[in-house]
Amino acid sequence: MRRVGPSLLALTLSLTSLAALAEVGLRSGPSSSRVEVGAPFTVTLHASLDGGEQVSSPSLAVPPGVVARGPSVSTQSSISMVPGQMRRTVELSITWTLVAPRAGQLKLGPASIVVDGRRLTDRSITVQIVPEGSVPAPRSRNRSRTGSAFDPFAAMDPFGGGDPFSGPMFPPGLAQQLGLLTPPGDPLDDVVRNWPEELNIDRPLDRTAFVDARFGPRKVVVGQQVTLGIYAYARPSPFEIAGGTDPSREDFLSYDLSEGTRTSEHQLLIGREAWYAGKIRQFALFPLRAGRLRVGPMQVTFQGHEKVGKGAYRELKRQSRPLDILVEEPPLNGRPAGYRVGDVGDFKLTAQVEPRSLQQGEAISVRIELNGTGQPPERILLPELPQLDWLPPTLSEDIHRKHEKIGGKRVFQYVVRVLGSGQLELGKVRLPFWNPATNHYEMAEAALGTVEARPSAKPPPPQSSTPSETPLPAARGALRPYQPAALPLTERRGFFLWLLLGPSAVLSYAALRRGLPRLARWSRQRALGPTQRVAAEILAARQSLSSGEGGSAASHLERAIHLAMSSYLKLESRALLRPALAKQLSELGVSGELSAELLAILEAADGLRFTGGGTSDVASLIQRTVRLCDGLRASRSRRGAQS
Amino acid sequence: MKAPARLLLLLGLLWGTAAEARSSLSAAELHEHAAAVAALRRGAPTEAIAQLELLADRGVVQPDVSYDRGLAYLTRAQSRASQPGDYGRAAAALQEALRLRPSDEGAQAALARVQEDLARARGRRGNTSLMARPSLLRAVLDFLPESLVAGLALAASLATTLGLALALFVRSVRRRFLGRWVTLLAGALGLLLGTWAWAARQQRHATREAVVIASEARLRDAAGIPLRGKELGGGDGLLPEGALLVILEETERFFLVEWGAKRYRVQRDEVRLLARD
Repeated sequence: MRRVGPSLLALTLSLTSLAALAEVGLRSGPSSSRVEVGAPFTVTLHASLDGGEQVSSPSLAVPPGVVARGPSVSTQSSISMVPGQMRRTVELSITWTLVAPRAGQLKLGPASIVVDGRRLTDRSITVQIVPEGSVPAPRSRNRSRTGSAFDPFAAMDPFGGGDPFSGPMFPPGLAQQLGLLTPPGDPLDDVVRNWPEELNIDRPLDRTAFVDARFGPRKVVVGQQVTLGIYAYARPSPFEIAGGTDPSREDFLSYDLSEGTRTSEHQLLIGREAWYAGKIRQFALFPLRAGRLRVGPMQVTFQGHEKVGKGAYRELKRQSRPLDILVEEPPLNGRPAGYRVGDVGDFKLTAQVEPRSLQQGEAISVRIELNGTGQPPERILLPELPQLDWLPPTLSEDIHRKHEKIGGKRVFQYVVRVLGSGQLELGKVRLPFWNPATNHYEMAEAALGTVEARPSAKPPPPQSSTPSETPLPAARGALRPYQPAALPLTERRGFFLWLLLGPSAVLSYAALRRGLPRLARWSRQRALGPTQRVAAEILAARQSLSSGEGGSAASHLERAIHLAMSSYLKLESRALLRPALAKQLSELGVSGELSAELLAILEAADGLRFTGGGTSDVASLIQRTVRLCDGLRASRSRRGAQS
Repeated sequence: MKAPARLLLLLGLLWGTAAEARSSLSAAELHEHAAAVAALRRGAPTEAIAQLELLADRGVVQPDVSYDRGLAYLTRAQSRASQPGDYGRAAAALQEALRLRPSDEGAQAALARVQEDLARARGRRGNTSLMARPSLLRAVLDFLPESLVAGLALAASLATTLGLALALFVRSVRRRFLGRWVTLLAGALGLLLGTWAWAARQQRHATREAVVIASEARLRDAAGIPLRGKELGGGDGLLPEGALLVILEETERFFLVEWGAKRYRVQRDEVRLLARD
């Protein structure tokens, strides 16, 4: 709970009658027992005095977060006549204006005053704070910050805009006469409504204190001024900035606009909360290049004025968010020749030439002054005449702030040697620039006029300082036909696929050519019985032999043998090594002679697969394989009969 | 001429003629160019530069316009009105003219003169600016023109196809044997040339050429801090005005450049990118 009262209030009522303190009556109460969040209401302490008392230090205890302003004081005196005595009574009304930030039961007070050195205290007051919209809106004066366009009841307001001291019923300046600090006409608006618009923010970025950096305009061109403002916000009490660091801004030419413009701290509402805020820094930034340019964070140390409630702070460090500013180049469309990116503003050129008459070879002084808003460019376009030799200029500048805009002048002081003679037209100095106010390119110009150069007996040497002896080639007036170089082959659509196309097509064709018959044979074989499948493999071997593919024939024979073993003997022989196979055959009752022949044929087929072999070798192997398969089938029949 | 060579030539011609021709200058641009040439002829190079730079800003890519811009900068560089970087800008414009029309003898001569003047100026200042060779990979990729490598890769692909057909479909053992060898050799060569062509294409797409236009451009590290002798293994870390650079990457403030076998950063305003057709 804090106590609200004018810190230096010395309220003295000099009344004529002397009366006892016991006769002082106190009575306090709110303007309404139910008030909406954020809506202003008043608490008034009424004191009845008999007169002559020294009254001072009115006070009202309010919880943290509640915005309180005042008090304002009004008096009303009356004189009563009783037989043999005249009595004068003074009614004192001390009023505080309050705004509550949140809903709930709000306990206020007790209100108190000091009368003749003794503090008199009334009872506490309870006000029910309800959510916004819960209480029907009273017909009241317009509380808009910008004021109402039309208020039909304004003429009937006895207080003249709500100010109890400025209405027609009271003489002007009564409050000042009473020695009150509260300014006239200020029950609420000056407290929580009339803060500078630039302090407005949608929502707080922190519960206690924060720094916000804002800039405008949002989209700029290279060389156009961006105004960066940095604002500090804190609650619940006023604050000071105890220190901090400036934001980094290396992509900008920067001018500090803060000096002399620092706004005082204001009380304001953010949503339904009361805050204190102020602008702490302001810069004029001129982007040096196009792109998304960054302004770094500003670090700030807050120092609270007083320690109040839970929100107390002494050394609170906060920093603003970094900002990205989108910077573009001015448009190419309409750009004049000689325009340099960054020459942005609104400029005017003036020129003075002295003397106007001189001897050939002597020099004239040309003073060119560039004036305007924006960062004054460092170069201007000079007339290029062979009769003139412009020496490097001396520059001076005076750049200053004009209502948050940077501007000023730059003076170019040239010494120009006049190499020609006669009446010489000096031409114009020019400066093309982009004017962001009109969104157009403009041209500042100043004519230099003429000079009269008397011929000299000894003409000055030409101005060229060419280091080479050979003259430079001529410019190409006519443009020769130009055919851009043909695109490389690699740029053709699908070039790298074309590289792979030929080989892969051949390989695919080969795979199909060999794979399809095999597939057909395989599907056919699946439909055949064991003997027929063996016979089919032998037939395929014969076909391979007839087409000269000995290796292929050997492969077919090998498959025929394995098929025969699988079908007739139920032996899966492909994974078996030869010794193991011999043992297995023996265990299955295959005769040793047949077994040896089988192994010999497999051995021979192995050899033929890699060498191809002669036609007769393959033909002989086919015959042997036919006999072997017959033998295996017979062996199965015998085994069946035995079992 | 042998049949494969004829086939290659025909293929190249067919593909070459399919390239899109650029549109010529508009009437307004021709007028501005004529004004620039007139200014240059009457000894007003700054005015000519203003006009020609405006054309460049508008995206006009024409070798004669680039040549005239180079000449305008060279004229001003040799006059009393010279400004820092004029020689570098002249070199950039003339390099651009040569990239667009490699056979331009006038541009070659003017560029030689710019480089001669720059060398003389460096000598007067006693500078020991860095000189570097291209990286090994770049030297290899630049050894043959990209289109020639691509054409050879295509030929190798055809040869591989032929070899495979022989090896797989011909009955004659001798021809099959020949086919296998052709497949092996042409396939390996095709793989090599195809990779080469692909790398050359990637390099062309990923890099740009630029010329130093500042009196001296300083090599910087990844954080943009200028490098000195020790960090560079000698030298003062300065790139000479007019030097041709290969740009690998662009950021808002820097270019990543290849200088020798290493990569450094230079400030954007110290170099000028060459226009491409």
